[in-house]
Amino acid sequence: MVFFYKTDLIYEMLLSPQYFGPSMKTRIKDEVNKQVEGKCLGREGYVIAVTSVKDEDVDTGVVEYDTGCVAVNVRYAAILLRPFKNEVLDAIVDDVSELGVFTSVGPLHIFVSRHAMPEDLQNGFDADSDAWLSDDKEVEIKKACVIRLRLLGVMCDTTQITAVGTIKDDFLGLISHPDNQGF
Amino acid sequence: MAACTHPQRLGNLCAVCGAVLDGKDTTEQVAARASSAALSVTSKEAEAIAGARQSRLDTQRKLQLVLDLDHTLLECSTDKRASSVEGVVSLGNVAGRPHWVRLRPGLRQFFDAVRPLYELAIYTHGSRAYAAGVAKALTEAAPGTSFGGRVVSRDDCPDLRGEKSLARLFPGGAARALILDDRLDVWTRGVDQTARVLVVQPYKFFEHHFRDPSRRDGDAQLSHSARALCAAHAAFYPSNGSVEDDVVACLDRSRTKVFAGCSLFFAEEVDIYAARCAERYGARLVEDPAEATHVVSRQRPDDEARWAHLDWFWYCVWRCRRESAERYRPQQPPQNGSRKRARSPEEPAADEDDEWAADLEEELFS
Repeated sequence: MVFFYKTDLIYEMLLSPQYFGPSMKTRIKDEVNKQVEGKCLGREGYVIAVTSVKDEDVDTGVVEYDTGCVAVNVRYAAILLRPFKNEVLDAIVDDVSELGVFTSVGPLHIFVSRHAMPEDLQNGFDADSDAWLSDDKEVEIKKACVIRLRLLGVMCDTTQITAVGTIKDDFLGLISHPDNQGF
Repeated sequence: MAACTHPQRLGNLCAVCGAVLDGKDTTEQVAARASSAALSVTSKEAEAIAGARQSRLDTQRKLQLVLDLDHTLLECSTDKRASSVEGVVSLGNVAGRPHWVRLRPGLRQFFDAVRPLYELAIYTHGSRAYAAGVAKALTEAAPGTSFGGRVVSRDDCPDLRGEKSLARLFPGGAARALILDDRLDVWTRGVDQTARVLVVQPYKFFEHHFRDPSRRDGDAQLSHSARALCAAHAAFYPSNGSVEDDVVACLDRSRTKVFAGCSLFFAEEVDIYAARCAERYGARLVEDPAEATHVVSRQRPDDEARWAHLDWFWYCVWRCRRESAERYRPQQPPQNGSRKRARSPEEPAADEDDEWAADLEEELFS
């Protein structure tokens, strides 16, 4: 079970002739950083940060006859975020609705349905304060709270990862509340 | 894979057990809220949620009010000239461009009046970032106002192609909801949405201001809307503690007084929304000008005694009360046969009418 991992990847890019010259390699590296960071690579997960693109990792390019652009394969190392089913992680609450709680961990969005909440929270949506309240009013989950959840399911698309989580289990649920920092 | 019958799902994932659902699954689903992936619920779940929402509103004796933003509560501009106009709030950069909004006069009083009676929600065609920025500006302009999570932007419903749907905001029906919008044509989806719309005059401050900076912004639309909304709430939750069951009927009770006893004859062709509004506001439409109490036309007819300008009609609708027809007659008769429209002292909504008509035509004939 790995949430973050480091790996070597290849990025294929087309470089327009206007960038040919002494600073071409710098340009290529910048471009890789710009294009890849924050992207979702499907099954591999989200690229969190490009750690290195070495000069020797940039292959010799091939000129395309039609456009004059150069097709280059760039090898780079990056830290990726790949969520797995049953993984437990702490997520920030972005939004709450009467259907459940929308949370995020960096670029990953996770939905927690009201049916995946403990029994005493399930019917506790309070529209006035825009929060989920437990029956005894002890627990309040609202925007900017941190909750610990377990991933129930993860679905990888080419452009995004859809995930659903649960807080209906021991040791899961509210971790910290914005009005009550540091408990 | 075994069929999953859980009540909520996010895209192809069941939100309750995490099972991946293939396309073959046909459990009936109601689109609820699209964020990063489409969230949908079964109709049973939608009913349960709607039921809980309804009983909560009844205990608080509140109704729901869905607010449009642009041209209803404010006008937004990306024109640099707007930055130097007095009373304009900067939203900062939205989608890479600086945005400025001018809040409609009387906004604070409006929110103060409706806040205790209505649970407020925003439904805009703008992007999510824009909606969030405006919601913040509105909360600052009218402290104490809260929209909670009830903000729907076009990012939340890419599938509706410019139309608005109450079901997206309130899965399972919105029996207690009214809508404040400057356009009727976006609410034609669904059976009973159009009747819930309280139409307002489109607020076009910048359009007039850039043409004539000395022009006073004497817009009073929101006070008229607040009055109509308060009356509807009072009708729905009468002081004897009982509860009505049809919010549209309650709104109609004050609306139908506007043209009560009037028979309108539209001398010029008007779009279907004008006709719908006329009936909604209590008028009888007649085919024969001889039977009419008001002949609605932009052109001065032969029989001037019963002439009512089209502006009069719309101002009556926007203000939810009968205005004096004389006030809206232009002083000078417009030249015969010319397309130039008579302009009343206040701005008529002639251009919007044409837009609505064009939109509807497109809808009907495509």
